[in-house]
Amino acid sequence: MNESHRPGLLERSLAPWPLLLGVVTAFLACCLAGRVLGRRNCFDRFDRFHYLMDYITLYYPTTSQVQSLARETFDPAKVAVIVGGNSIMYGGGSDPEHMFTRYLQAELGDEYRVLNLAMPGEMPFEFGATAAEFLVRDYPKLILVTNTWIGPGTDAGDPDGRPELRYFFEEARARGLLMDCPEREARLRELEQQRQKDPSALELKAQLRVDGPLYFRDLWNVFTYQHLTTVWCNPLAGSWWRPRRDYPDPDKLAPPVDEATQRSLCGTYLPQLRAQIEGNRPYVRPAPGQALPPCPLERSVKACLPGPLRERTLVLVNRCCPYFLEQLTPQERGLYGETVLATVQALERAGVNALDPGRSLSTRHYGDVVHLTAEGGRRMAEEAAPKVREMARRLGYVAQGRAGPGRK
Amino acid sequence: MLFLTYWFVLFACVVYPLYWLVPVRAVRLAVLLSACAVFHTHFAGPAGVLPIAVLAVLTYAAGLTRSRTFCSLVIAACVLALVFYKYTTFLLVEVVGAVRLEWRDSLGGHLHDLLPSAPPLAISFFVFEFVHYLADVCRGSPSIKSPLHFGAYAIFWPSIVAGPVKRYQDFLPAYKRGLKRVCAHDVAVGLVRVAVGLVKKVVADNLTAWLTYWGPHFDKLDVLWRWYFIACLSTRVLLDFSGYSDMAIGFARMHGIVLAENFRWPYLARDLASFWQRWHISLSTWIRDYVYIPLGGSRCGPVRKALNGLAAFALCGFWHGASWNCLAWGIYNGIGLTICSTYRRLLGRVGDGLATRFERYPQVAWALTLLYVGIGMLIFFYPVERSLRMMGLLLGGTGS
Repeated sequence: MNESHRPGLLERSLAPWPLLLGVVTAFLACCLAGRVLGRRNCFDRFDRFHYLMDYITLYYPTTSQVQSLARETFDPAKVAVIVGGNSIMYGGGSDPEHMFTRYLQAELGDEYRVLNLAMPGEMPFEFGATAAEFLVRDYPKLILVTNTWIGPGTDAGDPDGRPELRYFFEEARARGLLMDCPEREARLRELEQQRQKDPSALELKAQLRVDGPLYFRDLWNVFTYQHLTTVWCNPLAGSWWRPRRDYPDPDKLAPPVDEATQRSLCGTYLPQLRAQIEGNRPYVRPAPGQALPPCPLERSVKACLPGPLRERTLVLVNRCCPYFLEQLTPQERGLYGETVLATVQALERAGVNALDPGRSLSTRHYGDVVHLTAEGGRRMAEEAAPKVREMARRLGYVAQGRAGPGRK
Repeated sequence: MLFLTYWFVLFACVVYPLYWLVPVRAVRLAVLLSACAVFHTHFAGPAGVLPIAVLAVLTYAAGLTRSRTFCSLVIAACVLALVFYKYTTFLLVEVVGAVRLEWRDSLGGHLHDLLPSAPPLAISFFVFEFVHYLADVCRGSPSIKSPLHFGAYAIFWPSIVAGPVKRYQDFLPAYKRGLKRVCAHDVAVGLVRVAVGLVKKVVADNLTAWLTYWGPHFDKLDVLWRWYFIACLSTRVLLDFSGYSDMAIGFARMHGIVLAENFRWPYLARDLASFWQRWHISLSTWIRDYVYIPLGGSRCGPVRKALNGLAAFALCGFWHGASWNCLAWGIYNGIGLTICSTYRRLLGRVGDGLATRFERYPQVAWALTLLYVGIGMLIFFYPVERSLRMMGLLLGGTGS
């Protein structure tokens, strides 16, 4: 021993074997607690993962938590509808009472159970789609409803999602919850090569490999939700330590966008809209003598979704607020319409169901450039529900000719 | 923070059981050396390992020869390597570029192509340990004969990244004892230290997030919040750094190896001299032994003593980072220490009176020390001009 080393009080009074035994027992107890607690739904009156309990505030719901949430929401005898996608599906600009998924549930009736797993900024086949993929084992009568922007030339993201939500895919993968999908595996191998020197990607893999059997994130999530938050983050600011259950859903009902706001948004949004239309032109109206190029959207859908999930998936293609389309030239408007159609066709070629629910929406249904008001969400639900019912019939979830009670 | 990565968790889960379960010295040595090599290579990469390996081989060879000339040359090579990897950009872009502004961009561009994007991992620690080893061998201490023992001293994984800066005379007996026998008591004590370090890191990381958010808005805070900001900054530095040291000491102890303490409640110090005997002890004693004392220490009169102190602390600051603010932080502490050690003599009766008051009211001395150290943290973390403005704002006013 170091000559100058003088043991402190703690060191002198420490009984090593009881302590080590305690450490091992506590560690195993924590793993077991994580496993048990992850199987119980800890969320009170769950509506959606609002930003005070999602990745924006460093809260990362686990696959076990989503499974337990599904157990509480779904009934194996009924059709399970998982809503993924971005803030439009999430209901950004609406309180929980007026969000899209509430209206969709009302439209579909009691034979269906709708679970909102959309998050602001979520890609079409991220979190919600991953959840649908592993929940379909327990709930074979499952339909995934998600959304995407217009553009056959825009891909739907990587199969494992953006870095913010990649953990969820990797966790499902590490726990062996995902289906076999050769196209996805091939794409993931390419991505792995590209990310070989990215320490955060390697670290995420190691994290989920460790967490897979130990369930420590499940334990911590339940602790954070019910008792105490241990990580400071700015959106929670002065009350960052409070348990997440204390925070009510922060989204409020937004009024329709007024004309002054629309005008002020034109300066920034119209150039983006025009660029979007022009960027997709080669996939819609190729130059004379040129064939249509391979469609990135179609390719990425195949790389993201395994076959059995594709036929169960409905993708809503969201248009922007008509006010902005009215500012375009007739030629641009025509091209925009063709782009929407081409997007729907590309999705259908990829094997998923697609719908353009924007035709019946007017400017008063929008709260800003793309987000819907409560009325807009209701209209979109009215458009989507018949398609969901039709899919349910086609997939044999409900008897032919039974449309469900729904909205008359 | 390398100890807070999942790669490290997997690494520790493999290394420790192997080390504990095979009570054969040779096997333990093999496990330890392999672990050190894997740890260093994983985090430093081949480009970071190579320069350290070359310096280590040279240092080992020079130590074996015990030739004063060879040792001096290798010390110079170590220092030059440190200057090259860590300070070239600063010296050429910031110092030379300050003389001729038009050179600044062109030098920066050329250096970007020539130099690696980051210096080899922990080169500052390696160089300080190698210099200590060679200097002590030159002074007559025995050299390390076994290349394996030297390798273990050079790249002992718990202390690679943030110290403590080891002394080989202390390390070798501790390490040999660890190879021979590691008991449950060592493991338990080590685990407790690691746990203490982890708790400190959790608090420090939360403070870091808070400080990162509020740092740019410092001007908009009211005066009390600005002082609170300083308190958080000081706490964060202590918890972050001492937490890391705790973990390093704990992980070493789990190998049965006792490393020297690096922090001893520095914020309880009642004067700056005492603070520096409690803060990053391994670095401050290194600077004392290999810079301050060789420069003459306190043996050549008060002026020379003050200048030696300033030079030693300037080096201490510069060691922490190649930037003006780190250098300024070192000088700031050097000035503080000079004032602390000379005010009594310089101010005569007034100085005596002050010293008596401080002895009678140690809380005042403690508060002043803490205040000086805390304000100094602004210089450490922010560019000099901004930190001076922030100091001004501590007295009130707005940033505009």
